[in-house]
Amino acid sequence: MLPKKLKFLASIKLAVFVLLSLGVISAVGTFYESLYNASYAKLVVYQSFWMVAIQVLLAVNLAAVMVDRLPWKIRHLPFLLAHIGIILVLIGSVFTYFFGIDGVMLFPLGGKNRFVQVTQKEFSVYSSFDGNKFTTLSNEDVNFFKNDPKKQKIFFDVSADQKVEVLDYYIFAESKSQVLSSENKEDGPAVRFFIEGSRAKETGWLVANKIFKEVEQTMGLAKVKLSMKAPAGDYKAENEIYFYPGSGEEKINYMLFNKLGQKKGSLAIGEVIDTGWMDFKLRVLSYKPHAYRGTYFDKLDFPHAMSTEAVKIKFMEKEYWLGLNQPLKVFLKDRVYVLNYGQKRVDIGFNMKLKNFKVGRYQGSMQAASYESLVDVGDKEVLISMNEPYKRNGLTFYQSSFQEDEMGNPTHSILSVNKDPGRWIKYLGCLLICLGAAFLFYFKRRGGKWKFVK
Amino acid sequence: MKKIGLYFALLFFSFPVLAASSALKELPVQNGGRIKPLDTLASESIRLVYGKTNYQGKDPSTLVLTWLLAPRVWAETEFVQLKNHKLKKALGLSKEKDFYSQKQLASNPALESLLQNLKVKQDKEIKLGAFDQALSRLQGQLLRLNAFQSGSILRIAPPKDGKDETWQSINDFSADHQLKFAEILKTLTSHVAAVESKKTSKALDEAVKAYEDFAFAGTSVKIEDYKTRLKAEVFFNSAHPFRYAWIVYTLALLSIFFFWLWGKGAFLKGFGVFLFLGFLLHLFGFLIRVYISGRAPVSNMYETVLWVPFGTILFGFIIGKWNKSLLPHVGACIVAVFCLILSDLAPVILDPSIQPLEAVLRSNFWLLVHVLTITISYSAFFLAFILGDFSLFYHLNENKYRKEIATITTSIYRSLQIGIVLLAVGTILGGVWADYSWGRFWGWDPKETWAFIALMGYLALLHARLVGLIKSFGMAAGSVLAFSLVIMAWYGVNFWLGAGLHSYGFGSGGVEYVSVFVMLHIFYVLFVGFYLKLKNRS
Repeated sequence: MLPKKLKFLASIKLAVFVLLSLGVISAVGTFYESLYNASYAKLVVYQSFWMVAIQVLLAVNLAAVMVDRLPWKIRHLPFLLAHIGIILVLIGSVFTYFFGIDGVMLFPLGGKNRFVQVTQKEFSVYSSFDGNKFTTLSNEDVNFFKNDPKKQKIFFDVSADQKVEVLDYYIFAESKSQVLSSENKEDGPAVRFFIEGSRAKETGWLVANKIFKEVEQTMGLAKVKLSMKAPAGDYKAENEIYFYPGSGEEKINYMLFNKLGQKKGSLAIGEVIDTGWMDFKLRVLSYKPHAYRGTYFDKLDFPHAMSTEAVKIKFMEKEYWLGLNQPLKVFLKDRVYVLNYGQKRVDIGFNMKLKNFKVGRYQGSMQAASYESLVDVGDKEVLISMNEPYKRNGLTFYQSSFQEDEMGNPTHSILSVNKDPGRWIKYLGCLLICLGAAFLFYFKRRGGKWKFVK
Repeated sequence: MKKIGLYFALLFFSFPVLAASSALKELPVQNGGRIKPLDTLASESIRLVYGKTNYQGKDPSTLVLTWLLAPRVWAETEFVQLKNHKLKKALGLSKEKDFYSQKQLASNPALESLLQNLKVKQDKEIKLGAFDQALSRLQGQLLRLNAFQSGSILRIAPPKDGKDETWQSINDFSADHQLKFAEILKTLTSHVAAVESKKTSKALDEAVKAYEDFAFAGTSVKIEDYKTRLKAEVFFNSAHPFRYAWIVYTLALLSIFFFWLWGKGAFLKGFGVFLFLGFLLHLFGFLIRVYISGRAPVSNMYETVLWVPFGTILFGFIIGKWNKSLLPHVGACIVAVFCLILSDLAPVILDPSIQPLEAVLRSNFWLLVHVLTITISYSAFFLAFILGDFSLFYHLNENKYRKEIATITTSIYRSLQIGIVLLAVGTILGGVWADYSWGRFWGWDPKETWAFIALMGYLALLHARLVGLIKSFGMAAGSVLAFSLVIMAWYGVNFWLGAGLHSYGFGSGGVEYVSVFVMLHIFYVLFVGFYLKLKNRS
């Protein structure tokens, strides 16, 4: 029996309150899930202080009422089983939360992977002198939702005199790209043009760089091309304008090919040229002798399938935007820095290679009926399919889903990886709950008018 | 082909009722991930385009073949259903009409940009409100008509080699293959012209059989494997067992009503007979549907609306017998009539077609056990709900109906106990299934969360009763109010949360009607509650 002062902890009124509160909080969570998405609902509601508090209160109430009914009689059996079962489920959930692993592994076809991406985020900075060997300069777990960078200063030390400062964080953001002028003389040129005729009009940006030295945009039968250097002496084309950098900052050189022949010259920003292709005229809207495509992020109020998290950072006097799992490379004269805001990667302890991936479709349709991955795990090959997971190192690998291109050909297999140390505690708890519920039907109600007979 | 088409179309429109032969209806077509009879594909297509299966009494299989034969005639016929006001406005169409022609819609200048906007939203997986759903349906309607006019949807020839499972559509046919199919169209025309004489019907059957023999020869597919299932499905399409079930259940309700009025024992017997007969029809419908689809009948919303009242009838029978009370039987009968009528009259919201299951649901055993358990718990709660409605009514005259209230409260308590055990076990099984399939026992997914919330609500109710916090009125009121949680878990999660919380307006899945249903019951409970409070004061 409980001491008088603690009696209320065992009261049914408290139980009713706890049950209703759990219901209300969960319901709020589902509305958040519908308005936003599942992970946001988890952050804000299901893992919030209130939810945890009410679950603690539930456990206390259950334990108190069991203590209060001491000494126990046989008729208490269903009640004890059900309540101990619930407490076990709660305990199991605690184990899962603190010691469990829940993440995904993405495999391109034929690709290798040994890391699970989990929900926890981290911020890392690496550097390399040769582009092959990277050293980790900084790697920390972060939670910008809890620790708002606008409310507190967040720094990562990169070296004795350099650091990365986090300026802002958007939980829902949409990436936008823009073309910016670069101080790096090795960056290629960029030109923005507007081409108009009686039949059509179009605007475009062309940005060339070390990897894509020549870029072009085609409109019907005509082509606009941009290159890092001038065309070869014997270069010939039809219905094309070939842009290349001028000697100065103001003008861009061009070579124009049309049915009349070819013409050379240079254009300043704002100038128009008659292309000679029907009645199309081309105007140079912008020209940057050295440019790069930069990404920035727009803040969203609500997420959608293509939105992501984004952080704004300051590094070496420049501001950059990083999208989740989208590393940024900062090139210097002698080295390159890689900055990443991404999901934490946990090493599973062995390499996995996707040898093959098959999708079974419902006959004559594109709807997936079943899918499976053939994976090389070092010493053997295993087939992982829906409802047939693979277990190793205490981890279980499930065939979760896959990505496909526009033609419907699978490009990536996605495995969900899971370690749940609380699993058997939860299962035992569930079993006890079910037993308790079942026994309820075999016992006569105290003072009741009806009786269950086997 | 054109000549036949024009001739055919003229005939078709001048004869009111036409029927194809049974062989044509049973012609196997590969569509929607399975092999179905042409009758089903035709009915589904007409329902999609026109809003219901019955277009001027014409046989569906024949109708859709005329879409192929006489596309130009159909292009000008106003039979494409469009009801959403905002969409009509966006397309510049008159609000008064509900049916437009394919030509008016497909050539509408505003349509293309609307569809582009829709695609952007679909790519971003933004939830679609009523307007976008109507637009999406319109796109589907036009695509379906096109698919018939081009013939691409008529995948009626199994593949020659075993590798690819995709059947060939008439577009891919070789010349003599096309000839065999044209034979069907020719005999169909004659059959229509002869106003379904026995001779032309036989000729049509023979043409279809000749085609099937040709198409299936040399393939790994044997038509005998499909024949019985196709026949069963065609029968099922026309038999409407669930419709007859609610008609018979309604007769049962009439009988019990007359018994209540006039007390004649014959009416009571009639109630029992009709109830049982209705139950048999209900069961029969399930058996056929299970045979055709090859799985348990609880894989989509429509099927659950058939299954839940089935469970309620069963529980009504058990509890009525235990408590020696008529009310559980009557209540269950009302629930059955209500649900079955709903399933019959809302085909655009509740899709009765048999669709392929998502890959993750294909593990038959877990699907069976988990979903059946949860939905049958809804049956028990539905029974408690209707009994609660009865009890509230009795409370308006507490003293006169003391005995009835006592009996019905016991019945409610029984139903709640059954429901809670089933819901708890079913929810746990759901966790076990999810853990087995993808390693997550509990993910706070809205469907499972609302099942959990309903469980919390009913548990709170039972615990409150344990210490006398609530008595007979509380039980009645509680079982009515708590059922809103079941409605949310069963229907609201899909049609309200899943459709985006800001979706309202007609055609968005009936959310308004359901809300009114819930509101009315809340008012009913409040009314009786205040009435009792005032009465007990004086």
